[in-house]
Amino acid sequence: MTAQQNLLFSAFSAIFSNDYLASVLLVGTFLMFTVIGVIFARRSGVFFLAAEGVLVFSATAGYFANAAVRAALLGGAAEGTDAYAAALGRANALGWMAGLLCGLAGGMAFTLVFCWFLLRVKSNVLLTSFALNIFASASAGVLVHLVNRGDGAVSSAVAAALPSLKLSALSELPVLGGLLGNTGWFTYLALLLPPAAFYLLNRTGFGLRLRAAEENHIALTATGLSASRTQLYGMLFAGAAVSLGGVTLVMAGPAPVFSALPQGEGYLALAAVWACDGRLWKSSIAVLLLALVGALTHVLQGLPLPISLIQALLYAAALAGLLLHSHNDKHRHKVSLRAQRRIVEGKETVKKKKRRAGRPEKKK
Amino acid sequence: MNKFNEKFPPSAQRRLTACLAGLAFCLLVILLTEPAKGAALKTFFAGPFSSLAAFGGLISAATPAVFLALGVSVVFQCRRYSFAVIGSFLLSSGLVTMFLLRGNEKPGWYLIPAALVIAVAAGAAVAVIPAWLAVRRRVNVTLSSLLLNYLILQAVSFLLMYSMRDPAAGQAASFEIPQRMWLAEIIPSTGIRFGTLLAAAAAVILYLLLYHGRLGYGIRAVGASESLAGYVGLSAGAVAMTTQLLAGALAGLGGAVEMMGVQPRYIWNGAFPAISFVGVLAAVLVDYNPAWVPLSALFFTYLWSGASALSAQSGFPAELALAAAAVVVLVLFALRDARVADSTVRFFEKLARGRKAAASSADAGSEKPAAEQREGEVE
Amino acid sequence: MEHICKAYTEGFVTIKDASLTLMQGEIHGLLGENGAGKSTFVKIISGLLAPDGGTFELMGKPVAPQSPVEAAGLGIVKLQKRSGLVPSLTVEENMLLGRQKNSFSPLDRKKMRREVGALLEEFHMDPGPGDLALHLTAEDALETEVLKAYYAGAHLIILDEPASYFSLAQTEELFTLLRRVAAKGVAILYVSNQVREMLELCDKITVMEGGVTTATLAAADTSPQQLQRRMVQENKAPKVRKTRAKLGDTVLKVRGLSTFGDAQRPVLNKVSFSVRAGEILAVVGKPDSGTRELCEVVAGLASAVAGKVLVFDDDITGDSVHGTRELGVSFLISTPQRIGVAPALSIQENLLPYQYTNPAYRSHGLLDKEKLKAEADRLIEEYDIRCADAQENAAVLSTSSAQKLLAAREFSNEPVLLVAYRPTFGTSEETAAFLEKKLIELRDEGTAILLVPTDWDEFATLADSALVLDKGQVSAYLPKVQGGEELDAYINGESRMSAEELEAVCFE
Repeated sequence: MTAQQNLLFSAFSAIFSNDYLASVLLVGTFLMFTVIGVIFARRSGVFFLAAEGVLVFSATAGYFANAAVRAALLGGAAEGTDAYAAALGRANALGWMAGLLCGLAGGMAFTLVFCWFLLRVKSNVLLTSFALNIFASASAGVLVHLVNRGDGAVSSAVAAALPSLKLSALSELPVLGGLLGNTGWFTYLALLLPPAAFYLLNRTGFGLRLRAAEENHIALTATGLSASRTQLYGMLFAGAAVSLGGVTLVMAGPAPVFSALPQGEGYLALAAVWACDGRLWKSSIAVLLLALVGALTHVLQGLPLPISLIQALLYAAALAGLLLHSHNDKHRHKVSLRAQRRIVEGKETVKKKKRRAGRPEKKK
Repeated sequence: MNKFNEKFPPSAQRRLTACLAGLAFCLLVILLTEPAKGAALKTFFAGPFSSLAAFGGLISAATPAVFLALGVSVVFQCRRYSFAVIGSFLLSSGLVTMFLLRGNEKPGWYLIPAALVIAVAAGAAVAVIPAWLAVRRRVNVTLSSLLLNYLILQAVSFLLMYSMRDPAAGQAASFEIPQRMWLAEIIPSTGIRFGTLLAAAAAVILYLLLYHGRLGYGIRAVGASESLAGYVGLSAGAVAMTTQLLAGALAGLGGAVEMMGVQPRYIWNGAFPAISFVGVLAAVLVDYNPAWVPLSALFFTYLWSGASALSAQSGFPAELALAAAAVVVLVLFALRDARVADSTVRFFEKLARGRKAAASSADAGSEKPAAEQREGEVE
Repeated sequence: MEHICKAYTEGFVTIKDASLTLMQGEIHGLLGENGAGKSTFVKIISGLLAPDGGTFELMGKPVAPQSPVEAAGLGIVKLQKRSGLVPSLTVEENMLLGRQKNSFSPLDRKKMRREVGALLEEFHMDPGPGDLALHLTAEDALETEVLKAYYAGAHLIILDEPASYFSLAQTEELFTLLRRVAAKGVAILYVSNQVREMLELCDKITVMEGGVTTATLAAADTSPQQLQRRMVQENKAPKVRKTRAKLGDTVLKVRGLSTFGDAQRPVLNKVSFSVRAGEILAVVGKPDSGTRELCEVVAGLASAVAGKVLVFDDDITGDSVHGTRELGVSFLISTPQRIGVAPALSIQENLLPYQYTNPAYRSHGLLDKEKLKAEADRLIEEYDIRCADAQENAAVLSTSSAQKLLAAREFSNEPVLLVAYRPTFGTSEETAAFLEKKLIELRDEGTAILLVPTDWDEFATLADSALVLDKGQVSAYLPKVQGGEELDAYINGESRMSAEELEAVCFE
């Protein structure tokens, strides 16, 4: 076989492999958390551009809390020794728990600051988010430096991975066995999120109030409810979800490495949600599609292909999604000019568009 | 207090306070984390003033930021929050590098103007994409510009890896751009080049355009009220496209200036160049007024130079300057809220009164400070 | 019961001393012309503004709401002109918004529907509980909001000029509902400047003028003329008189115009008419008859589907605003969606957009600031726009001054055709008289004017000839308006003029 055929073959075999599917699940998990967070924010009437900053902040906080606790519990024992092996289980367990908690706390704190600027000071959401995102990535860099400069134990520490849920029964399944047996509990959580969000947003009183916060604040004030407080509650959910996303990004998978920092995924999630009009199920499908594309980079890494271009595919996909949405949107509602002329001349009557049973088309 | 307010309007007060807050932030972080405090502080704060060459270096480094900030000013004045200027900057610096490195045999008088033209074209081409998408397809311009930026980042890194990479360099970087292809120095031995002159001219022209020109009126009218623009027959779409093209061209020029004298080679460190963020934030600080943009850009670049020097000296990441810049802008926003502004004013007044009380107690008896304190409390 | 008495100053609106006492279950009207301070007074009651002095008691207890949310908590609900319903929720969801005991437990949809259904039945209301708020008509939406407030236990419901866009039949429905709600013990404050409405609905009426509540009368004890007289401070300015029109060439020709409106339904259907120079053609009709869309198409703000619009035989059917302005068309159309004044720009910049793009006002390529300022000052002087300085932000202008600014901008262009849609809406009597005078001046200079009058008084004052639109079609044309014509039948669509009579309006 020629070199190109060889390359093509290895690429294909890489894609149609278990590794790829596992990668898809990982990327999909983290994207799902982020997207759900953005949806909650949108339902509260907030353009959550600062989601990127929340991702970075929670990832950093989580990773370093994880590594620090793990290093502390391992007590400087060298790898391979008995002391090391003895402490490993507990260090890992407490490590990831600390990471999760600190990541959540950090992300929520960041979200609260964002909400203060947005709801109290009422500054421009785009500019504030931009500044906050810069602050988050800059402080992540500073934190890395500070941590690495400290005692060597932390600097060379590796964070504990989020554990996987080993369901032995599932690993017996013929095709997906190997895959399902190794998925983390966080993936299951991510899969449960859309229905949970659906329930919260469409079947509870809280969801009704969020809709009012998104569409018409007057409806809330007339009932004696503060619109900005309702928005704040919605944003708490949003911040929590995105923080979880940041935590899973750095700590999921077999070997967590800090360089897996978010690179624009916050914006990707925003684009996905806006291209789907904030609809829950449509966004979930978008997450799947994006995960399929995103996992390509992980899996095609070893091959002599330009890795940057493959990474660029993800952003191109999101842009294409936005374009597609705008194209559809233009022609969805309007009665076309030709139809207008015919109606006016009496050749046609105005057709009533059939309303679907569910929610109406949301206005931009 | 009111007379003070007249001479020194509250908006300027807020900006100054925000800048001070940024400086204080850097001070605090350095004091808390650096072991060699004195040396670190000296390098950070006094570094750019240590010699004429250092000061010239500061001005030279600020020049691309000025271009970026001017581009941002124009676009944000008409309320189209597109961040495409960052992508323009990136693409143009990458293309200029490639062009210059490939033109090894061609003469300087051909390369330099050609590079500038390429830069402007590339910058405008990048900026026009989100603009066109917004006007024609109503795609949110912020989202599309941010995604495009990441796309361009990957594209330029691809270019770098496969056509310009210098294997001898420690990090991912291009070959060095020969000196003869740099812009000429206008003030010898300071490093201040022709690009700075261009930036100054651009600032003046843009100021005149925005506040004394017909197009500027259109830009500000579209930014102030789309309704009014529609009413009087100004095409909001045409104005938006023009401004974004202009902004892209300016940012592209900045990218060229960056490669032709400020940076010896194109370096890829995995993220956006810090100077692009500096430029955007500098514009935000001065409320998009081109007259004040160069000063603001200079201030932020001062922070960045200090941090870079510190980084070279002790390894402390230069991102500190970016964090400080973000703090400056955030503090400015916070101060615009009436309650925050009131509490800061009261805080400063208490400080001032405290110092007055301490001073008078030094030279008077014990009765006076008690009286002063009671007065302060009553107020 | 409330009794408010205070002194309050803000910019150009002054409330010197306003008092109001409301009993439970009473429908009380607040009457006053535009600019008398009604809106400000109501803002204070509903918590948007704070009074500078005086007392405010609710049910015998002193209250001081700091925000509309607090006021709603106390039981004071003000219904805005903008809808207070959430569009993508159904009526039942809107009514029970925020009233669930536990926000996170599942909604019992069946129970909600039963509850709300029973309530709607009780008050004989049209919309069903399952209807989307998006699909409700404006009147139904308002009624739903009233019910929502009542159901939430409001003690006082305030309506601020709700019926400005409704037709007569629809206001009847609203009034019936208000009476039923009042019968349940809720106090209702109805703010308006329409005397007839007040007399029909309210038990008691308080008149307000110049920032002072001057009298409180029982509706039964007074008559429309008495109230009219009380509303105006000084003697009304002498009625604007106009001379007979000197008609010139045909300026505007509209033939077979049909267009789609925002509602994706045909709004104008083969409308044809002409306007001559020096003539004011008044177009009247119900709010949904297409008068606004007609003005927008002629002005160039909206597009037509079929038909032609010609100015001096130049086809402007497809032209945008830019094109129509070049031919000399000016328009004065201010609706909530289309405000022609930008608050962030200075008054001068709002006044002179045409001059800013005019080469005559430039020197060496840059704007001639001196010339512009002179022009701005001249216009401010001529149109009596109340402001301290032309460089101030336009946000400081009152509604009347803003409308005068728009008029100054549009009239001073020496247009050949002026399209005016409700030009004196929301302005004070004084300003309205001033604008009417200016319109007549413009007409006498030879401009053709297409006018949709703000109210019947303006129609009587200004119209030379009249056109009646009903559901997008021309139903009547009067070549000469004498005054006293009965146009109601044509407006309601009960009768139409014959085709020959309608042809008479199409001059060439």
